[in-house]
Amino acid sequence: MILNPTEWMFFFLGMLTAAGMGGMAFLKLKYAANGRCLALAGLALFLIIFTLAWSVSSIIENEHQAANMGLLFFGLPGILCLALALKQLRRTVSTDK
Amino acid sequence: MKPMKIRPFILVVLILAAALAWGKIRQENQALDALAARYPGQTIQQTAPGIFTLGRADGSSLSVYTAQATGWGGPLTVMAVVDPSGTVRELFVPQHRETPAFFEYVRSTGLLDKLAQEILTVNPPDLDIDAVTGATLTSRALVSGMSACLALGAKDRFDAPIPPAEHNWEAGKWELAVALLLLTAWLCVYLKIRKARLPVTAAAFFIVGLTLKRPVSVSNIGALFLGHAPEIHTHLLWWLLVPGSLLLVALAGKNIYCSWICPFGTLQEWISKISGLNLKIPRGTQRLIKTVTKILTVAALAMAFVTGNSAPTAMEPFSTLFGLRGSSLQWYLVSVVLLGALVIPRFWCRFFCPAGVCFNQAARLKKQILKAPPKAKPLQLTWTKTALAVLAAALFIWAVMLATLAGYPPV
Repeated sequence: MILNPTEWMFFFLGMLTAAGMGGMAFLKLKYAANGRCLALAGLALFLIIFTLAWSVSSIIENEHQAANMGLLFFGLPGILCLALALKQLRRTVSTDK
Repeated sequence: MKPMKIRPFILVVLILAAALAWGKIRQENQALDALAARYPGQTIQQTAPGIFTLGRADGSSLSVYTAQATGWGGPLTVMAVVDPSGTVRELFVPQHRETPAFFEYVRSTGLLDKLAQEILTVNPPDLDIDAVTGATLTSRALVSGMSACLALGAKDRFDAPIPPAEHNWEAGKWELAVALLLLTAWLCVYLKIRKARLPVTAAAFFIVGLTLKRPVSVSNIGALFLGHAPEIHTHLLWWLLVPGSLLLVALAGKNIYCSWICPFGTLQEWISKISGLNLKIPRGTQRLIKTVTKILTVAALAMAFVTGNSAPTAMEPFSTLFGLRGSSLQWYLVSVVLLGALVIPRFWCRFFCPAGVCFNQAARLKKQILKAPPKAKPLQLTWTKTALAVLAAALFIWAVMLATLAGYPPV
């Protein structure tokens, strides 16, 4: 096999990062998202990627409890940030209309 | 083209020269330190140049023979630990400048263990060991280093003469192909034959990327300035690709390498052509990213000069993609760049490539020297500027002299 599981994980995380950045550019260009929305989305992207890296690495190293803690402490705030970003975006779009 | 600003230029030269000088001073006796770290608590004595004796607690002693060879990234040091019966007990490499992933790959093939099975004899045998596919230059350097260690051991134990170094030229079809590529690219740019770009870039992609797997990286440029260039008769390919490309770009005044030869740039171009997308980045953001990249390039070169090892500065994902070997973070970077190229043409080249920064500066040299910009203010020399320039030049010359004239590394 060319890549080991950790390398595969990082490869997909890279794709996710690029897709997330593309998504943020899309929000900015298509919906004219403001700075607060983009900052929240960026933070959410960072936290979600960090969570995936942490949790998958922990599972590969057979540390299941660390994986769960990662999901709780980094994943949950990431999802909350994403929800806040979407809420902010909806508010911006409805104000524009 | 913007006029070159003198103050940042002097500052950059000063930083790099100081880093080079400091790095040179830091590397004194690195081989000895490595040996002491490997065998803690044992007395180490240097009996002759490159020969050490390790005194053990039980009164016995081991001999350590040190030799240097040149790999892709620069010189590497090989140490063979030999017991009194002449059996090689261990072979280790305390210092190397190869791309870490490639060196680990060579280590994982068991080449070092295979070489360590040799026995010291009056006439050291020619080591007929096949090079590791995909890391030919690194494995050849290890074999050549081991041969030199055995020859040194034979001289020490049996007073056998050290065979003279052979300087046979090693050049084949790939060296010819790269030379032809560079020449064709230069001719096409000079004669403005734009239609030839697709076949030339495709040929460069297959030759430099898929076959040779080693496009020019900032670590190669760092190695050049560190005085770690390999011998030209055995590494003609390196000389064609690194100083050859830089010289061609400087002479042409155009960045021919990035736009015609670099296989990674070509791949990104093809990806963006497939997607057909072109996301516009605001000019301010573009300028900011480019400035950050320039600062990072200077920092990478300074780091290489300080540590005397340019290999870790190879942050570009070239070798990871074409050689299919790299760290997790390099694979992360590969996927970000390839996906980024879908929406922004030449995503890596335009914003992040440190080798591209060096090539662009080389391309600017000719225009800066030949014609002054029409509205540029004449350079007003003040005492401060003159003193800075003289200091920079003196430091640079001193550092280059140290790096090239002093034997490397002092053993």
